[in-house]
Amino acid sequence: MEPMRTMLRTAAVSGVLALALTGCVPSEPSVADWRSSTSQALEDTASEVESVALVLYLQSHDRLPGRAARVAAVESEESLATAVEGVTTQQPPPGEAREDREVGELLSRASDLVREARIALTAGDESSYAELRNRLLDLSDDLDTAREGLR
Amino acid sequence: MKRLFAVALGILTAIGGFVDIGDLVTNAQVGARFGWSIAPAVVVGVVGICLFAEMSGRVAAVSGRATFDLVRERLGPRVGLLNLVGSMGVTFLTFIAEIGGVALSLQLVSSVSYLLVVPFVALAVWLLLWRAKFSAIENVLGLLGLSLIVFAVALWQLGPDWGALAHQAVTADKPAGEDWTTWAYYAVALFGAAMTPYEVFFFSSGGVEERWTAKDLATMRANVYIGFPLGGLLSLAIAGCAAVVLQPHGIMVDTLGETALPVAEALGKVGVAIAVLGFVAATFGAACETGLSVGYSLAQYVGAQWGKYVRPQAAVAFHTVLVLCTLAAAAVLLTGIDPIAVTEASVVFSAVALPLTYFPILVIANDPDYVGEHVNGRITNTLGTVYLVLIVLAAVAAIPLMVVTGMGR
Amino acid sequence: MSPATPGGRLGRELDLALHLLDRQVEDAEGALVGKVDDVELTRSEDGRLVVSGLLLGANALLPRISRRAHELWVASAPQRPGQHVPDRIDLSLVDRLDSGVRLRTRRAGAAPPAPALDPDRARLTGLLGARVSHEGERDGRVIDVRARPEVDHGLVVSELVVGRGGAGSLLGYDRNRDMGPWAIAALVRRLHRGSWVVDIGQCAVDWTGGAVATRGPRRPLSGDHEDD
Repeated sequence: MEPMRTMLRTAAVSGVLALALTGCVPSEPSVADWRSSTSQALEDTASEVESVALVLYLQSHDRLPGRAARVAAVESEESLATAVEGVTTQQPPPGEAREDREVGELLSRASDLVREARIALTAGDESSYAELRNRLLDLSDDLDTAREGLR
Repeated sequence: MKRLFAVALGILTAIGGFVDIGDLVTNAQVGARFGWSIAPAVVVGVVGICLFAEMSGRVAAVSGRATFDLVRERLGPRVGLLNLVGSMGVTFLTFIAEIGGVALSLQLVSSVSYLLVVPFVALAVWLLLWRAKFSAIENVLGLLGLSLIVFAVALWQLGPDWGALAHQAVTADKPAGEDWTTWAYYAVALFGAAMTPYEVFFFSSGGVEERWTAKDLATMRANVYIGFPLGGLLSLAIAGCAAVVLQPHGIMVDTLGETALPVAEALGKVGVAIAVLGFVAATFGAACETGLSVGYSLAQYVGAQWGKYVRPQAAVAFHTVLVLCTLAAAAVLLTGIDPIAVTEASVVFSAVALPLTYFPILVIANDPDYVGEHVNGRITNTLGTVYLVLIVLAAVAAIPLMVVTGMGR
Repeated sequence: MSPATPGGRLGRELDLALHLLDRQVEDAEGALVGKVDDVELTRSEDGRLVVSGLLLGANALLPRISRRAHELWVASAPQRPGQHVPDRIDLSLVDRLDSGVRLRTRRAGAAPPAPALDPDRARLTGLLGARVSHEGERDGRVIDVRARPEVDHGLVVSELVVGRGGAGSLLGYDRNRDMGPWAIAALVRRLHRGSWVVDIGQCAVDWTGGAVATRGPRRPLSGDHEDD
């Protein structure tokens, strides 16, 4: 019983130490890592952009209660901010500077446009819904294209 | 006639009570990303919960013992304590997620930030439990939870290509862009969402408190074998709606509002209103049930008085636990942690904690000392053994899958 | 039946770890009292080991979980002379044992503190898990303790079940030949294929050291079934 317990304890302690140590090693900016996290952020952003476009569509056809539409837009805006922040705070690897700039521009376009849509939804400015929706859908296509380019 | 009414009420509340925040979120997420290609996991989970709930309901009816009594009697105080900490932890996590879910649902109605709603929800849950009034309101919430049937109506309205959906489900035909580890992660999550351990704690504890006897076995089985599978169909409908409306747009569900969008598309404002009513009822009912289940587990482990009919002065320790965990849950939510993320974690950890309670129940459902002539039959035991293997596999795989896939990213 | 003899499972042979330990205690009206956290055994003058009471509460439970936890518990209130003493329910208060223990009385006042320093009293968990040597050779641990009612003596410890694994690890599979599911039953029987049973009269118990020395004939557990 006793040696068993000592062994288990040693194993547990070394496991925790190993985890702590691997956590402490500074992550090196590798091209593959950067590409995969950027691609993930683009996908998340496209999802939020499409979501807001759908809300606009439903709202313009009077299928969604106004409050629910506003809440959905605000939530998408918040999720998008998290996705954008995840990428823009990253250090791009050398040689990817051009892609990084393009992605940055796309993401800030997305933030601005979703914000615009949220303002329109909150103000109930129905005349602008169709045009905003078209712009969101175009942006979503651009985001998909950019993601293809990172593969 | 009265008996028939009781049976019908039991079945209806079992349907409404089956779906909680974990089922709502996980099914919508999976539907939006994988269509119905992970639907088999829901089916496997529903058969599993029927098996598990029937066994513990039968033990509760014949021997008058609830889940955690049995855990300690068979596994002893040490392993029982580990078991208690694990199961209580998961149930508490689910409790946090349910309270967050109520607040998020109310946010959809009121457009007041859910953070401002959380303290009131917590207070309402606690008052219901403290005044021992939940037992009176339980059926009402279960029936209101039935409004989630709106998802089934919406799916039918949307007129999907049923053949394609069925094909996805039968052949596990996942989208090309997703890999199998992510598929496996979500399969475990759906399994955990369908087989949440608290449902069994609550079900068997309720049976003990309502003094079921062997005569109630037929009613209990009707609730389980009809109510839970129909609840499972609601889960599939939620996934189906997301598959039809959200998947083509590449919308990944990370908010509760997105879960309701397909209903808006199919049925308009009225549909959304009914769906949100269903969200509130289902999550509020589940919040009370998980809160009680945390108290049940601890009280049953130490042998203290517990129960939803018992006044606080007769069950001091039990009610102290309820107060503390409601306060703690509200505090956790007020840190601003995303309730959807808590939900995702809770369904996965449910899968991890499942073997801890399933194993002792499987053994005791075979012990004539507890259940007399009502021991498991051959079919139940064959299924029970297959599920023991499945449950252990899911529990072992859950955390590695969560790490490897980065929670399904 | 005289009022002092408890009914149900206590009316015939039982395994104390399997059938009594950790069971729920309820009072005469169904209110919950606590768990059977330990069982009190009394050494009578003629050498019999008699089940005399149920021990409840932190001072019965904590020593079973962790000795250190119990020391901390006692040290948390050193001014209380009874801080290390469990609550005790006399066996005469027990009405019957089935899936739980039912008392004859209301719960209020039913479990006073146990007498603290009585050399005749021992605890079941002092016996469970004790190392066993048979005729000088180490052979497993006590995994259950059998008791049966004897006229004029009460519930008397009759045999020890010895084998590998923890107390109660038989899960009841030794009691019922047909108990399923098959896979678990086969696994438990395999783990306990070397387990054996010995009469208590052939055992010398070292209570402080947690050891039992046995001698004389013993029989394999695999032959014992209740349903025979």
